[in-house]
Amino acid sequence: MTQMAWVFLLLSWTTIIGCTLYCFVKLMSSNRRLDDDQSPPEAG
Amino acid sequence: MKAISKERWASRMGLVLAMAGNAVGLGNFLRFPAQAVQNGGGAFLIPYFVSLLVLGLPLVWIEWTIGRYGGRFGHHTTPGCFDAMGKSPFWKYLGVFGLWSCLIIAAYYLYIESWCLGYAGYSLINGFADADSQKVEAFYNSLIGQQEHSILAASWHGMVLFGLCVVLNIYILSRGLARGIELVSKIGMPLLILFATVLAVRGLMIDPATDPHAVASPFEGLNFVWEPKFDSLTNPSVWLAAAGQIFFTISIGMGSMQCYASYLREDDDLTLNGTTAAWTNEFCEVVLGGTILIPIAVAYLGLATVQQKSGFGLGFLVFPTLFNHWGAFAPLAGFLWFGLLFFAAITSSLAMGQPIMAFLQDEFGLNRRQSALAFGGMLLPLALPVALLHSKSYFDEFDFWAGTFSLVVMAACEAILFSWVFGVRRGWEEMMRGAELRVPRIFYPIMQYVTPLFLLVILAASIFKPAAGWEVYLNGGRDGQPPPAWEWAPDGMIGKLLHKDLKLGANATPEEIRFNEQLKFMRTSDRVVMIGVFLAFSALVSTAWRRRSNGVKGIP
Repeated sequence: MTQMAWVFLLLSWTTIIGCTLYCFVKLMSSNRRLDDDQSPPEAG
Repeated sequence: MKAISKERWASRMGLVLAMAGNAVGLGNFLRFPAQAVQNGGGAFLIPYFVSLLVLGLPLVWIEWTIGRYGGRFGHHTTPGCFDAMGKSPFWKYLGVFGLWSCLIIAAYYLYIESWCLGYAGYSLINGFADADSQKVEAFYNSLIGQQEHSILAASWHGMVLFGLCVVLNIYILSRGLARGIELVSKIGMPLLILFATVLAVRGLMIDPATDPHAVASPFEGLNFVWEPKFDSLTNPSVWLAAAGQIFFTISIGMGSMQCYASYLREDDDLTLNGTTAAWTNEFCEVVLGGTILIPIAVAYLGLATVQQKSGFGLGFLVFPTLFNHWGAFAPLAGFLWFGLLFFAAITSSLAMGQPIMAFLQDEFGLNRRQSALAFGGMLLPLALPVALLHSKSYFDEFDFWAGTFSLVVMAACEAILFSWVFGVRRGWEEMMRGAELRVPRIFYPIMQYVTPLFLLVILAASIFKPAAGWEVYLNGGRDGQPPPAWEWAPDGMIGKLLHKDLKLGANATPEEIRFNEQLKFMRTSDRVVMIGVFLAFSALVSTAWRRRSNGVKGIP
């Protein structure tokens, strides 16, 4: 593989894997759940 | 007053995986690598990421916001969600696109899903052992029953598998959100990623020095995908291709994302959930999808052969023969490849069924089982011609009008609805309610101006598409020659309307001419069917709203 191909591959992979991991870590460390007790939504 | 559906997602992870499963489809593994190769290799990723930022992510947040907002008023489908946000009753009829495209796409997507199931099973029993490309092609033809110059394409194997997939989808949908779609996504998505990772690692381990069948290093294929060709960046067609890829990979404009998001509560986060699902899709597409198909194919076939094949042909017709070079691992490798395609397909097809079911539940008070069966009943008359006729008739037409063109129309509508009708300020406030991920303020003007404009440009370019490519006319010609006389591209809207893709050569045989006429007739009848389906959904929406205004309860 050429150097430029490696640069583009690594840059793209780093960005995508980094963003995906960041989101999942933030999601899993959140205390909020979908089944938290909340008042029922207003009917329209 | 109307009762609100009690269906909810069981967990955030389940919701994110279901949304990611909706987005991750066959295109991630078959279409993306081919698009990258055809549009500048690594340089394609520049317009691709720009499109992700100005088109993909803003539309993900817009669709989630529209869905969650509609859910507050008891709507789980786009007619209701659009009606809640728009100021005119007209909007709910534009929302019909979100039901129409789901049903039409499901009619042919489930058919491809059934091929993946057939291929996975046949691989596992080692059916492709020592198979050459002709044997694989024979297997493919036995599934679809297609013969040259014959409009009928029936196959019992194919029909049985297709029926099995339809029943499986209906059964899963009838189990509801948490016990059906969410459960399948929680199992299917990790398996898909595992299967893809195993194949990618095994593929990159191919060594021409030790593998007598390999003609090149898989890294040569990886280089083919990633080597940047910077001159492609000045080509508007490349930018349109990148925007199109982003658009279709995230499953924007279908009505599924709004439906899934509508089961959230008013203060549930949508920015973090939506962004996580979008990046998961990108991971599956760029990191996994870009590392399997092309590198393995280049290693065994060489660069020149791969350049002449499309992603679909490589994946279904060539790959089973290549796995045979992997000895005892071959049956499992075939199963992993077609298994991951099956999981990618089923998590997407379920997302097409849910809006139809939700509409029948919300507006006509059907329960889960009834609405799942009704979905099957609506699907059947559309799916049968797909399975029984040549793929160039109903299959191709459904794919173009519902699977390509209407998605752009729908996305343009919702970008305008969100930013200009509902108002970008209100839309932004609605989006950020309960947000656990702060969206940078720069996206405010992007959502207001750039995203709708970008979509209108894509829409215009897909309607008025010249056969020679826009760059030839924008640059005033090519290679010192003036631009050719205008001719519509066969894959543009006008070209498609005029059957430009069914052009016959000067030496066409009477048999080819007859077949071509049959195809044109079938395509025209297909368009009448599609218009009929749209009008039928519009009539159902009209009836439902009349019932609402008369105070008839939708949900018992």
